Parts: sequence; structure tokens; C-alpha cells
Amino acid sequence: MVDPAPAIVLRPKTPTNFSVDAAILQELGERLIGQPEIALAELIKNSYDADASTCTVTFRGDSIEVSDDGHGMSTEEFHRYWMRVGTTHKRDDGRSRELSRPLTGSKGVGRLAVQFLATGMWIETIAKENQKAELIALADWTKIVRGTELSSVEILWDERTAQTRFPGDSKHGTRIILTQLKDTWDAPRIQRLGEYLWTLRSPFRRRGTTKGPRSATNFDIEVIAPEIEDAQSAFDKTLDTLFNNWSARIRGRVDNGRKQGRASISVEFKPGYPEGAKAEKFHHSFTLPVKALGEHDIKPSCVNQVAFEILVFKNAGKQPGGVRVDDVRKYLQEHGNVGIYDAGFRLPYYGMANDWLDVAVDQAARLSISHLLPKELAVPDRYMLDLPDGRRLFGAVDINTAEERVAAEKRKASLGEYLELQAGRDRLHDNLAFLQLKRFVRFSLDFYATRYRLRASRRVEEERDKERASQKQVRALRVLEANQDKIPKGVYATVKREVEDALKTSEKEEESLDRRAALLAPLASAGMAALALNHEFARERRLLKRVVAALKSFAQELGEPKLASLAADLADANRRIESMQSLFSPLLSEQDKTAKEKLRVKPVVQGTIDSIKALMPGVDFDLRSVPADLRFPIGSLAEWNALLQNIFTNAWDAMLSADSHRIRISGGEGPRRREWLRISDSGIGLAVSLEESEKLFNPFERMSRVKSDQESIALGGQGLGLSIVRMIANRRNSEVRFVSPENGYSTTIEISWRG
Amino acid sequence: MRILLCDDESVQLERATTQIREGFNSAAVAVPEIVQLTGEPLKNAIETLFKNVTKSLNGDSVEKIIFDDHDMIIVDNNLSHVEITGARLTAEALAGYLRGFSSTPYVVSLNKNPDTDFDLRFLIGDYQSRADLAINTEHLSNGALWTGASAHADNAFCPSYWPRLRTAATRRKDQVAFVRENLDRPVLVSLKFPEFAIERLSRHAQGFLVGADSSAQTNDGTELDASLREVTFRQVFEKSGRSLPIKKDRAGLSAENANKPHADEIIARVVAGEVDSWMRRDVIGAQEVLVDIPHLLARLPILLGNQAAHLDRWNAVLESPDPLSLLNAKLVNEQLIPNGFQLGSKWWTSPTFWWPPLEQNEELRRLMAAPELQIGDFVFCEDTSRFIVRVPEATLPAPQEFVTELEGGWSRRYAAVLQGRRYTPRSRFAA
Repeated sequence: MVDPAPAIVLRPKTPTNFSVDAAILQELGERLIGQPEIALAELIKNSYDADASTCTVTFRGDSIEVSDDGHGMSTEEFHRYWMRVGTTHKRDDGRSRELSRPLTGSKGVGRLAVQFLATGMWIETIAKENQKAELIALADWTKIVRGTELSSVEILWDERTAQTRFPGDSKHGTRIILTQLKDTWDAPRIQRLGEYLWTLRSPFRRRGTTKGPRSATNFDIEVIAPEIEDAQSAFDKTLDTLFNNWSARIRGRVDNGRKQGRASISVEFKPGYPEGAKAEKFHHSFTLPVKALGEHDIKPSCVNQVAFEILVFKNAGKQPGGVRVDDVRKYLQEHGNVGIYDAGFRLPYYGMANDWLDVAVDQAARLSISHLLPKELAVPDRYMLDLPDGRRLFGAVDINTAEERVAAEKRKASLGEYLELQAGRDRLHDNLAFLQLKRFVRFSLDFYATRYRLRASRRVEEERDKERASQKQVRALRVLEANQDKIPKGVYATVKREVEDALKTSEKEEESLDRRAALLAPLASAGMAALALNHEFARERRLLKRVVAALKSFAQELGEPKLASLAADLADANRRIESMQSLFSPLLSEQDKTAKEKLRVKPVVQGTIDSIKALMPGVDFDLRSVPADLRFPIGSLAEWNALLQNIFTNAWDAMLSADSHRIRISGGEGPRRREWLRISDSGIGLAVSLEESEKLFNPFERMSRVKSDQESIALGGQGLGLSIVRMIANRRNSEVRFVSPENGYSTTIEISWRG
Repeated sequence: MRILLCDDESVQLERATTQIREGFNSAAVAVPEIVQLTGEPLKNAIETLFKNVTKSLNGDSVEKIIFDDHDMIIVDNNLSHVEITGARLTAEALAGYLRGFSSTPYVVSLNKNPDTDFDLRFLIGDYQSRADLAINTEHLSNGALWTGASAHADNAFCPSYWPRLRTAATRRKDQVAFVRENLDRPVLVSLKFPEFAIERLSRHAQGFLVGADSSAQTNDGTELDASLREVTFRQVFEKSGRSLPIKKDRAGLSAENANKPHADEIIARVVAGEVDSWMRRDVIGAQEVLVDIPHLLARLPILLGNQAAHLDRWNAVLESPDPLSLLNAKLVNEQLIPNGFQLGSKWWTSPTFWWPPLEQNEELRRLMAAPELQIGDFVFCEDTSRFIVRVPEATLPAPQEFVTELEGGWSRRYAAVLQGRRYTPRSRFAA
């Protein structure tokens, strides 16, 4: 092993220490926090972490006051934790001291935040454990001078008899007053503050009439800013957006249920839920109580006055308003499900921790049909699979147990036949009235599930025609799977195998279709170019014809043979243009583009040869072996012409380097009335083996091996020719493939069809 | 002959004028007087025409216009430079009104189908045209267009359906006079169609006569026939929207209280044009009821007697001003003349004969079956109006068979398929 510093000898002297410049606090604040709203959010998070129920943030003049009813700090805690940079008094298990909230504040950043936000700070804090004493502290950051030791920075503090009151008149908590603010606070900044903190806030506090008991989820932040317009609504904006992002809203109500008052429910769907569906609202009214299927003898309604609203969220995909879907999920995970409010007081028992509507139970059992909905509301599909679980719901059921009791007593109802709070006041007695309330609310959820499925089914029907075969088959598989328990095992396995097999085939065909669709753009351009070119050709031909006639006339008048020769050359040029023009002629006639009969092969081939031969000089076409009565399947002249043109131009390219330039076209009928047309050329053969030749039909797959010096005389070369050939052939129920070359030829392509 | 040539572009107008002159020169016949109409005068003339249309429909007297008193009006289809409010003007939009509301009998439209030289469908050219003939400017220089003689053809191109434009005006005037005389008489009776001919009329041919007459269409065959036989020229006018597309206009002109002589003249002009097109396409064109000389020869070469093996003789008949004189005199006198369509000369350029009795004629059948008969294997080419060898020696181009869309058993025809000519739709060659 090599000694890293063999020559250095350490001499014993007095050890030295790192010293820390006082300005580090400022530097750290700027680097770690960056923005004032983040700094303030960190301070507020400290309140949440201190198990506060309420945190009040007051903006007034040049100060911000953050006050909470958390557990506060003892003098010891203040010195040990708050005054020590880089540490935290927060517990190692990441949970708050009393309510076991997940801790949110960043390590020790709160202290830096105060310096970042303001020049002065005043703290008042009373620890919950010792509510007689109050610690007060004062800091003036202006006295921190760069170059002095951090440890020399003085924070003035004292203890006094507890006198401060915190939010909700709490006797413990912490109040931090920041003075001489470094930034200006306005509504947009407060809105951004809200964006950082919304996930900590309890939704129940927004609707409940009381604050409710201290709990892990019961935390809210009040913003008081008389000098900033709309401060609270700016702060609430993200939470408001979240609650406006519902996809469906279920509302229910009954008044005078005990007097046979009609209960009504409505389900309102926003557009796009499910995807592609329009906004829609469904109503249903009935008399309570809700009967379970098969139930006959039941007592009259034991609930008198109930109103509820349940929001259904789509906690997947992009959320409107820029709220992160993960945050929505976490938020609903914590605050979701349907709660019950007794005279505005939320009964803590009914929340995410308690599946009081039995939704999770029924989902686990894969319940497919509601036990509560009458048959006329049911839809054929397994609609209950669309029942939303608590993590997608946020709802509240408003009751008033005191009034229920009065109404019950008027009707001389027995004990247990009205909604009644249990002694612990966190839940209702599990009696008949509660059962009826539960069924009423659950009925509305089941109703929602049927309407959702109805909308989804309608969309499927609307989309069915546009759907690809594979999509239909995937859906068929889903239906099959969903009904697996109703189908004999053997049948299920066989049908599944068959559908999967069909799916594979469809996917393959669709893939091929997609590849062919890629051809359309270049073909469309080519089509437009062809029409334009045809127009130009016609004009040029007319001009040439007149010039030729004039030249001939001059040549005759002047007896000038050179002029006559020039006229003959121009006449030849005109003929070549005419021949090229004929390439497009099938595109110009509507009838030639319309497939209505089985055209005779021989004239079609002959016509194509006539139109293309000017581009393929010196090629010997032999179509003597095409029977006169052989007919293509139903198709248009334009299609067959395009198919043959492409095959011929491929043959031309293949023959560029060959000694012989022959194309033979033959036709006939094979076994099982299979008719065929083969085109053979004497070119250099395929670039791949016959077995691999299938791939040549893929778009942009080039089959020719044209030498660079011959590129200018090659035809095509875009790699689209054979794809077009196959596209046309398939469209006309024909097959096209390369086969073993006919005798004397190097390549043979065959088109075959059922005669 | 006096031709009014209309085009909104003067360059094109000059070109067409030159082409017409070339056409007449190539046929070695006197060049007609060509009156050119373009620019503001064309615009004014069209406006006056439509004012006259309105006046005529209101029963008012009309003033003479520039479109009157020619033998033929030739109009370029693209009149988009004529600044008249409303839809872009075309020859097609004018043709029907020119036919009815000008005294010029014949209307030709130019360049409606610039990519077509020969239409293979109904052997009448563009059957949808409202004009009497729809051709292209370059066809004007073809002498055969004017004379019908293949000898005057530009590089052999002489469609059999071209109606010899030089005499078309005279023929049309005769037709108009005939229709005016028989306006309220049944068409088929006036034309002296025998019963066997009426029975052989194709559905298309019947449809033209019964037209929109719903009672005739909904009845069974017998009643349809009865109605068919009774349809008058005036009723044809009322039903056919080819020239005057607005039914109310037609009804007004045909009404009892119309300005009779003037209205009837308009009706006669329109109906003459309609019946002419019907005869050319549905009656003669199909060669099922009436057959003309070339198609008769192709079916009964025995008419050529001992000359039936000689191609020259076949073509000589077609070129002769008196074709019957070159045929077997006995057969002509005994078989053809008794079955001739007496009024044929008013409606077609060559003699025509009733085919059903000739087809059934035992004597002709017997002669055709005679073993000693020498007949050349020749076919009539509709694009050159000449017979050629069906299977020529290898070096010569062979005629191509095509299938028209005409009804009946004679829809398969031949074309020489000349280089440089555009035949549409080409799928008819492979049908």
C-alpha cells in the first residue's frame, strides 16, 4: 500500500476550529428557499407538524403573523432545537408528536425562512405541557454583519407568565410575527402560497359549521389580509379548483320522509366522462325506505330529513387547473369517502377509515348487480363494476339527530327507529334508521353506477362503427372475462382462445393497413401532380402540334429539308408526350375510376403497355399467353392500370443491367377456380430469396438494385410500388406474391383471384 | 354557311376561327362566313338573350339579337371571363336557351371534355351535353367534322357519330318544320314508326318519350305502350328539361294562353333538338330498331354481292354519295327499299332501314348461309368510319373491340384506336 503523504510530519499544536460567518443564515435562506411564498409555507408547515388544528396567517401593513394552536415550544425546546441551525426537533419516525401526522417541514428550514422573509421577528410560544409559562423571543437580523461569527448573533428572549391566546382561543401554540418584510405580498403571491399548502387543509372545515375535534386530518389555514383584496379566495383557489374538478355529482334529498315525502336523487355528469360523452343529468324519485331486492315486509321510513351531495372524481389522467393527479389521489386517500354531518358537526367515524356504505366490500365481492335498485333502473351490463370506491369520492350527508328525534317522537316511533348519536358522539347508533339512511345514500351510488355504464355503453355504440376489429375483440375479451364465472370452464377457455386468435389476426391486418395508410399521403400528392401534369401536357401538345404544322408548311414552301426534319423530331416529341399523358388517362375518367365490372385482362394489360412503352424503350412485351376471356375480379381500370404500371416499372428497373429486356405476361386458371396473371421479366432477379420476398411489399422497401449510373433512367424507386400493388390487389380480393420464375425469366410475380 | 363563334378569350377565338377554316380547306369546300363574338358585345348579347327569354315567357314580343339568323353557333364552354352576375357562365348553360330563343338552329359547345376525343359510351359524343354536339377546338380543323367523309379526316379520325356539321343546320331546319307541323300529334305516329319498331325500342328510348309522365311509368307494360304511342311532340317539350331546365317556363310556353305562333316556334326548335338527340342515340345509335349503312353491311355483307370479300368495296359504299347504287340492286329493291325509314333523311346523314324485318327476312338468311359466299372478315371502326381487317397481319394495328353502354344486342363495336386520340372511358375496351 502506498502512503498518500509519506513526507508530511504533523506537529502537535493547539487544534483549530471551523468558524461560521453570520451571513450564512442569509445565504442558506436564499439558496434553500428561493421564494418568499415557499418560505412562508415552510413556517405554516411547522404549525401542521406541531399538531395544530388551525393556523392563522395575518398580513397587516409591513408584518405577517403566523399563529397556530399547536403544541408550542418549551424554553428548552427553543434553545435546543430552534436556535440550532441544521437540526430539527422533529421525530425520527417522521410523524408528529400527538396526532402522528406525516411531517412536512423541511429540516430546520423554518428558522431560515423567517430571516428570508423579514428583518425582524417576534416569537410567542406556550408549550402544551406547560401552559403557565410563555417564551418570547426577538431577533433583529439587521444586526448580523458579514464577517462576524454566527455564534455571536444574538437573539433576545425571555420567559413570562402565559398570556397570549392562540387561534380558537387555544392556550398553547406559537405565534411568529415577522416585521420589516422584504417582499410585497399580493393576491397572486398568496395564491401561490395556497398551491403549496392545499394538500394539508381539511376539506371538511370548509363546509362544517364547527371546527371539529383535533385529529390528524383536521387542519386548516385561515388567511386574514384586510389590505389585500380577495386574499382568502386566492389562497383557496387550488382547493376550489380541485372540488370543481368533479366528474359526476350525486345529490339526494328527502323532506318529511316519515310522512311519505318523496326522496329524490340526481346524478349530473360532466362532459367527457366517460370519454367522448356529453354533459347529462339523470333524476329519479321514490318513496323511502329503499328496499333490498326480495325484501317485502319493511317498516316505513325512519329518516325524516336528509340531504347529501357526493362528488365523484376521476383521479387519473391530467387534471384541470394544473393540479397534480398524484396530489389529488393522496388528498382523496386521506379525506375521501362520504362523511356524515350532524347539524354541521362532522362525525369523525365516517371517512376513509370506515367503509360504512359497504362499497369496498361489494367491490371485493365483484358484485355486478345492485341489491337496491329496482329492475327498471338496471342496465344489461355489469354496471356495479363502475361503483366508485371511497378514494374517488368526496361527499357529505347532512342530518340533524335532534330534529330526527323530535319527528320520531311525534310519530311515536320506538327507540332505535330514528337517527341517534352514540355516546362518544363520533358516530350514529347502528339501528334501523341508520340502515335506511345508509341504503338511501348507497342507492344513489348504485344509480350513479348504472347511469355511468349507460353512458359508457352508448359511447361504445357510437364508436362501434368507427372501431377497429381489434378494439371490438379486446372488448369481447373483457366481457368474456367479466362473465367468466357464468360460463362453463371449457366453453370459456375455447371461446377465449378463439377470440384471442381473431385478435392476433386483426392486429396483424391492422398493422398492415396502417402501413398501407402511410402510402396515402405520397399517393395523394402524386395524384395531384398527375392531374396538373396532364393539364400541362395537353397544353404543350397543342402548342407543339401547331408548331409542327407550321414548320412542315414552311419546309414545303421553302423546300428546306432541315426544317422538315426538325418538324419530324418535334412530332416525335409530341407523340412521346402523348404517350406519357396516356399514363394518367384512367385517372381522368370517372367511369374508369369506378369499379363496377369484371374487366378483361388482356385489353387492360395491352392498354397499360401502350401507355407505358414510351417510357420503356426496347422492351419486348409478350402477352400472347393471356386468354382473351380471362377477367379480373370486379375493379376499376384505374386500379388495374396502376397495379400493372407498378409491376412493369419494377421490371424495367430490374432489367437495366440485364442483357435481355423481355416481359412475359401469362394468365390462366388453376385448381379450385383460382385464376392468375403472371408477369415475368428477364432482369437481374430479386434482391432477396423467394421466402423473404414478402417484405418487399412493405412501404418504402426497395426491391431494385439500380446502379448509380442508371438511376436517372430508372422508373420509380420510392419503395412504394409493390405496396401499391398489394394494396390494390387486396382491395380487389386478389393475392399478389412472387413465385418461382417462369422458364427463361428471372422474376415472376403472380396476381391470383377466385374466378 | 354562316357560323357565329363565341368565346370570351380573343386568342382562343382566333384559334377556333383558324381551325374552322382549316377544316373546310382540308375538305376542299367553301369556307363559311365566320362571325366572331367576344368581349363586351358577347356580354351584351347574352344579356339580351336572357331578356328575350323573359319577354318570351311573358308572352311579349322580342327584338332580334345577334344570335339569330346563323346556321350554327359555336360557343366555348368556359365563359368565365364574361362579367355577368351569378354562376360562372358556360356554353352548357346557354345552349338550351340559344336553341329555343334564337333562330339559329344548331348549337355546338367547345372544350367541355378537353381530355376526350372519342366517347365510347353511347356513340353520340357527350350524351349529357345540352348542346347538339360537344367537341374540342382541335376537332374544328378536321374536315370530316364538316363533311362526314373519312377522306377528309385528320389522320383518319372520323367518328361515326359526328353529324356532318356542314349540313346539320339544314337538317335541323327540316326537323323544326316537321315538329312544328306535327306538334300536337304523337311522335311515333308522325315519324311513321311501325309497330314492330315500337316494340323493339329500348327502355332508354321509351323513357325519353314517356319521360316524367308518372301515369305512363306506373302502369303495366301494355298501358305504358299505349301511352308511349300517344306521346305528342308538345308533351315531349313539357317533360324534357334538357334545353329549358325550368319546368314552369316550359309549362308557360305550352299553355293555352301563350303567344301561340311564337311559343310554338320555340317549342318546335327545342323538341326538334331533343328528338334529334333521341334518334341519334337511342334509335339509330343502338342499331337495334333502325340500322344505318355501315352496320347493315357488317351484318348483311351479302348486300355487296360478289364484292363482299373486297375491303375496298366495303369502304367505297361508305364513301359514296349514293351508297345503295353500289349494292346488289335486286336486294336493294326487294329488301332494303321496302324497309327503308322514309323520313330518315331528316334525322340522319345516311339512309337507315328498319332492322327487325331484315333480321327476320328468310331470303337474306338463306343467302347469308350460302356456302359459296365469300365474305371478308372486316369490322367497322366507329372512330374512323371505315372498315378494316379484323385480324390484320402482325405489322398492322388491329382494331380493338369495345362495349358501348347502348342497350340491345349490338353494343359491341370496334375502334381503330388511333395514335394521339383520347378514347374515354378506356375501361369500355376491357368490358
